[in-house]
This record gives sequence, structure tokens and C-alpha cells, in this order.
Amino acid sequence: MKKILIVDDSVAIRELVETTLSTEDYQIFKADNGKKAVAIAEEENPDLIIMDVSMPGELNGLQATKILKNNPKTSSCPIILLSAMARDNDIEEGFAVGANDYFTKPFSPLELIKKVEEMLK
Amino acid sequence: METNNFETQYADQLKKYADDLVKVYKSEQQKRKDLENTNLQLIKYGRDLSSSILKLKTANQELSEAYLDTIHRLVIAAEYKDEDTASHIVRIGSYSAMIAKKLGMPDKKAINILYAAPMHDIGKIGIPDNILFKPGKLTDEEFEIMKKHTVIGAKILSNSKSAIIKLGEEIALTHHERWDGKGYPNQLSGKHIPLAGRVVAIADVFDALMSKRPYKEASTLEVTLDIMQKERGKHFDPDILDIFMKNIDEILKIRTGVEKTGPQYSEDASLEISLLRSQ
Repeated sequence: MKKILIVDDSVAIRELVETTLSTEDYQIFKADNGKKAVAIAEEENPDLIIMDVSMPGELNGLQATKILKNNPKTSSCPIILLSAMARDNDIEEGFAVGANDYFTKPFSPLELIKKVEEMLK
Repeated sequence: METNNFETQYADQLKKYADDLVKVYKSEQQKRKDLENTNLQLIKYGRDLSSSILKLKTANQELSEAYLDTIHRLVIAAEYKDEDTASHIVRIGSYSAMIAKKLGMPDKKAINILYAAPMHDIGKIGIPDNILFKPGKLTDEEFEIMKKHTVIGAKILSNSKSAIIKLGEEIALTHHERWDGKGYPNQLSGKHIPLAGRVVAIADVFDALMSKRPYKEASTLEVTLDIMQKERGKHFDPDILDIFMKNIDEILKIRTGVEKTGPQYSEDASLEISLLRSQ
């Protein structure tokens, strides 16, 4: 079973993303900040991470992505950033730290499902 | 001095209140923003959900049409040797559905009958040609074989999950039973005969009498109705026959309609369905 890590400080979004991905049999892990996300990723080696950008706490989504992409253990895991920050340079910044894709909130769940299936193929 | 000190303390306290108020305000503002974002996200979910449902509905509709079309073509294939137009089976379906509707059956059931009734004679595919196409009267032995088309039809249609095919099985098996118990293959009588079988029996006999066959001319409407009326309570369920007679004008309208539009079943079906709806 493919493992997916969902990272968002909003419990509503975490639940929505989890429900969205229930179309397939995935093993879902959840974290509410970047620091926990990094720890879970190292421990569980997920096949995909879906991560919010602005989160309170030590690591935001961009910082966590940078760490994960620089760690040989987790660098190959694709990361989709999910953020309400939708300006061009926000998106550029996301790709600059190594994200594989960037969805702006509110995102289309159908597009997310399509992208996730494409990335896990 | 004392007053001054008191005022300072008072001002400090007020400032504390003001600070806390700002904190509460900011946190409420943040909560509000979070709720608004979640709300926007939920709206997006609602839109995607309705577009998915719409796509599913279209796909479902296409599948359902393809399914009904396939049933129709299989029935034509089975009847092809007998008759190279589909108009007879289309008429049987339309008459039966109309009677069903007049009997107060729900639209869905009537529409199932519309598609299931044409399968009534599908078992004829298993009857040898020399009997099926014999120009003269059948011998007793030949007639016994001919009667088997009911059982053969039911067997061909047996064990289906489809409501339409299941109903087709029931109709194939029971459309030659008679109200007085003298029919075949199981000599069922009265309400032991399934309703759909009793309805199709009337539609089938009416259409046979009104049609020209290699061995007979078509009867006039008057003669046809007279023969049928005499079978009230014998061959036919009296209540259903009464309803049939009461609505004979609509039956004739269907007959002309089918003759005009020819064997395009789907067109006729939509015509019939709109007919059913308008009542």
C-alpha cells in the first residue's frame, strides 16, 4: 500500500485531503507542522507528501521541504505544496526549495486526485 | 500623590485590558480567516462533486441506452427468421407498457415492461423450422413442441441480475397461461399468473389478430375486439381486459405510431415514455 503524508495546521484541510484520497487504498499519515512532518517522513518513508506552506512552529512548509529534499533518505519522495499564497513568486519559491508541484488553495480535489495518481504511478 | 498613583495603576490596568482585547481580536480575526478559507475550499469540493456526478450521470445514461439497444437487437436477431421488421415486438412492448401504466403501475415498472415484453417469444429460436414455419395446422405432437418456446425462452433469460431480463423471463414463461387455467406450460390460473404475463397475453393476442400472417388475413378491429371480449374471464384477466377495452383508442394510436415511425425502437420508446409521462 502506498504511503501518503498530509501536512497542514488546519484540521479541516487535513481531513478534507484525507477524504479526497480515500478513492484509493492509501496509508495516510498526518502532521500539523513542518517539524513533525520531517520526523514522520524519516521514519515512514512515504511515497508522497502533500504539504501546506504557512504553518506555525519551528518549520514552515518551505523550510521542511528544503530539509526533506536535502536528506538522501527522503530526497526522492515527491512533495506537493498546497498553499493559499498564490503569487508568482510564492510559487517560484516553492519550486526553488525542491517541491514537485504547487497547488493554490482552494484547490480542486479532482485535480489533486489526478496529480496524486500520476505521481504514484 | 496618592491620587496620581491610583491613576497610574488605573491606566496600567486599562492598558492590560486593551492589550488583551487586541490579542483576542487578532485571534478571532485569524479564526475567522481560517473559517473563510475552509469555506472556500468546501465550495470547491461542492463544485467538483457536482461535476463528477454530472459526468457519472451522462456515462450512466449512455451505458443504459447501449444496454437497452443491445437487448433490442438481440430480440430482433431472435425474431429475424420469423419477421424481418421489429414492428411486432415494438408494438407488444408499447401496448403492454400502456396497459401497465393504466393499471397504476409506477413508471419505472411500466418502462421495464416496455423493454421486457418484446422478449416473450425469444424461445422460438429453439423450435425447429419445419414446425415454426409450417403453413398448415400443427399436429398435436408438433404443438407440444411449439409450446416449449415458453420454457426455452425462460431458460435463455434465467439467472440474470437485470430487472428487465428477469421480467422478460417471467413474461416468456407465462404469456401463454390462461385466466381459466387451460393455458401452458404450467396451467396456472387467475392471479397465480404473474401480472406481466397476464398483460402481455392480451397485447400479444390483439396484435396477432390484427396482423396478416402467411396462413390468415388480418381481422378487422370489430372482429378482433369481439373475439377478445368473448375470452373475458376465460383466456384473459377480466379486469385487465376491461382496462384494455376502455383504452382501445390509445392502443390504436400506438399502432399507427409504430407503423409510421417504423421499427426504430428507441424513437418509439421515447414516444411511449413521453406518452406514459403525459398521463
